[in-house]
Amino acid sequence: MADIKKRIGAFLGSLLLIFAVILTILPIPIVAYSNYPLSCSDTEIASALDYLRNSQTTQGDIGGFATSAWVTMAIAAGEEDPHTWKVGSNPSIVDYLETHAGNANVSIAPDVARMILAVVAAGESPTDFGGIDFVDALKTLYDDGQIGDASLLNDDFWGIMALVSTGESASSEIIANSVGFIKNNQNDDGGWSWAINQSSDVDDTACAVMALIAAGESSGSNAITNSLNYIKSQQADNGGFLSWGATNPSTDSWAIDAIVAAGQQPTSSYWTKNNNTPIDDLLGFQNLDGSFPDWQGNPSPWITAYAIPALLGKPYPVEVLQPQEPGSVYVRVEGQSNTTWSGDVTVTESDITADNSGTTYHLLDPTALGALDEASNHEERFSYYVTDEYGGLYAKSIAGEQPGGANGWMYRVDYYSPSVGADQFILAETTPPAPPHEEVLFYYGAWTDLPLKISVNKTAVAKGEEFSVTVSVYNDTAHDWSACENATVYADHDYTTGSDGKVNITIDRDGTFNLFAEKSGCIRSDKVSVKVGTGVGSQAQVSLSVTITPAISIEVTPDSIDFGDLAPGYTSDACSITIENKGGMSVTVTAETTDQAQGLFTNGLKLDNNSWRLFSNTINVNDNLETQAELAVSLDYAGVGTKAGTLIFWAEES
Amino acid sequence: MQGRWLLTAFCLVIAVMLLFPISLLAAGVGIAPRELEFNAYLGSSANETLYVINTGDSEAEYEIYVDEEYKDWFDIAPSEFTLVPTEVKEVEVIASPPLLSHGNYAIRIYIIAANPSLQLGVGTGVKVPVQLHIASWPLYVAIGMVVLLAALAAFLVWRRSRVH
Repeated sequence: MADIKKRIGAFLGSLLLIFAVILTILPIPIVAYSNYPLSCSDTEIASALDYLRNSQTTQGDIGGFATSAWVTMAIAAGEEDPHTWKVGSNPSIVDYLETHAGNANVSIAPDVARMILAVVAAGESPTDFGGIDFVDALKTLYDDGQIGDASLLNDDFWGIMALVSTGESASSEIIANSVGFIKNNQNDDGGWSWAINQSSDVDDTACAVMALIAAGESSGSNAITNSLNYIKSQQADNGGFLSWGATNPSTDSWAIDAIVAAGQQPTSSYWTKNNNTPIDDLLGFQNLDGSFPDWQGNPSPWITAYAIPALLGKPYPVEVLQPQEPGSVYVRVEGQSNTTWSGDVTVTESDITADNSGTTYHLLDPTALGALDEASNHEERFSYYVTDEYGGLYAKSIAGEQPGGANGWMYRVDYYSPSVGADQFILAETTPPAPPHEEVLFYYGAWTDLPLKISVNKTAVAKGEEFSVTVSVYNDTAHDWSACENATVYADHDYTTGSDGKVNITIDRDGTFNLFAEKSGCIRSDKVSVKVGTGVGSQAQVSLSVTITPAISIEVTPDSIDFGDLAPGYTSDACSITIENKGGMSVTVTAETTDQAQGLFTNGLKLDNNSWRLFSNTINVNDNLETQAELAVSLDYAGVGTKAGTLIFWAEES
Repeated sequence: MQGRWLLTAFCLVIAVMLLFPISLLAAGVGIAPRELEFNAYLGSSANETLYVINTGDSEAEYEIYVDEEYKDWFDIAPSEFTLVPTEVKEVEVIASPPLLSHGNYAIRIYIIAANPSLQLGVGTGVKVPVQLHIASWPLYVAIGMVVLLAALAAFLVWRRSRVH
């Protein structure tokens, strides 16, 4: 018995020793995901991005319109430029989103918020994307201290994240009040639901955490602490987070985002359960092709787009617009009958001389008048006459247009009519309107004239494809926009808006049309471009055909050589061989000879008077090379009769 | 008289050309992609597809093979075939590296087109670089699991023998 025990003990000891040795020499640790966050070069991220890239259509979209927005965020989180994501020379995913921007329902806050987050992630302007001001659209949905539907919470979560991404101050009325609305509707268990008075769930609680943190909430506040406690209470033994009784990659992703947003490490011991972290569970869902599955188990670009930021430790919003450069502003000068100038300028301080008195004024700050002065000095310069006869500096005429009657030159900032002169309005500082200030509008008209705004639902259409134009008018009392009826829209010809401010337009000729709107008693709108032409829009179809040449290809002529009758000691006449590069790459060509004739060819074949072994030439694409082949039969060659051999020209990419 | 002789000679030349057309056929091969990359794990295999086209103007026989040293690591199907001009063949290349061969390997696949000839047959060939990356950790993990299970089984046997 003692002998048996000893043997078993020795056996066990050996096994353990072997196991210990194997563990020691293992090149990869068994616990593979202790280094969180993952980097873009990690296989898990690279393969997920590859999956998304391979899912892109020639239209530019990946998984459709809404998913393309999420994917754009994932691409940006992966530190790649979404503008470069395209199939060949087809539209990029950003082009796709811009062309189809009208698909977003601007009356639904989460739709608008998603677009803002994606547009900012793409480095584009959310105030003018596809002819739509998504920021304005979202702000329009702010009502009674919250964003969107008063019974919903998820529109507030995403609305806050979207506004923060645009650089909106967390202390702004919309964000501050919406934060209060969210906190007031936190459930007793610390979580949130998608709507008020509903049971908490991990997904929406995670979104609430991200929104609050983005809005400046301290990670140590009661609201955040309690919400993280709720998320922790929903952690399953596999490390993931429960949703409808099981974990899934979507819930895991957002929960991880929330943990990271709150400044915690999802692989910490606190977030480890049964030796499993949330990252383990999330990565456990990843398919071999890099994708993550949806609820039915199918590979999903949508869910993959959620997982990438989470694995990279980049919660939403994945990108935030940098604060506006002081004095950087869009200037538009609307004359009596046309737009005098429009463009971006940067102004810091200005020296402006009053034309009537000759006195030069040094404006230390970037002002609205300084912006006009800067604009007048651009390449397409225009003149303006400034006077100090009324106290401050006043732009009395621009581009030769003089005031007359009740009409003259006035200015607005972000459509708001300031109560101070243009020389006293300090950009990014004076309020109202609240900074950041994006547009300074100088216009010729009456005090009562109101700004018009134009937007389109499509910026690129096929010839004959209908698109919708909306014209809004600014209300100087309510400081909001309303539909503008009977406005004239200029496109290929004139159109008139209906009572809803809309007009449908169909253009039957190719071209890029700069649409704008005018109405008596209003200030001409800015312009929005619509491209009309073949190959643009959903109705246009072009048959595409291409012949792909092989990557590497050579052709040799002739395919056999008869050197004729030769006696030992003689050399044949030269035979010309042409080698043509018919592939897509430059190639280096070498030669190889074989024979079954006692070395007749391997010893006697010459190319360009040298041994075939020395033959090496580079041939560029579509180029060819001619070489002369000779066969020298040695004096001591013993064979007789017809002899066969092979000369191979090998091509390799240069 | 001289004109008749010239006319006769010209007709004879034409007749000979028609009866014995001069054949200057070309041999050609084209491939895509320009290189193959395999990511395999020990104990597993990886597949890649190679496309071969006859860019010549005559039927040719094609043969595909890898460096002699690694010929047992690859299965190529088909490895020999005939293509008429412009015909394309899809070739499956399967890398099945042997155990204990982890690491990165630079190998070549050779695609050769040749016409059997009683004279000196002139053929063309393309050398395609192959990158083979073999990761070892799945096998090690599997071995570890097997050893662990064996240890567990041995432990259970030992416990049972103690109880009895």
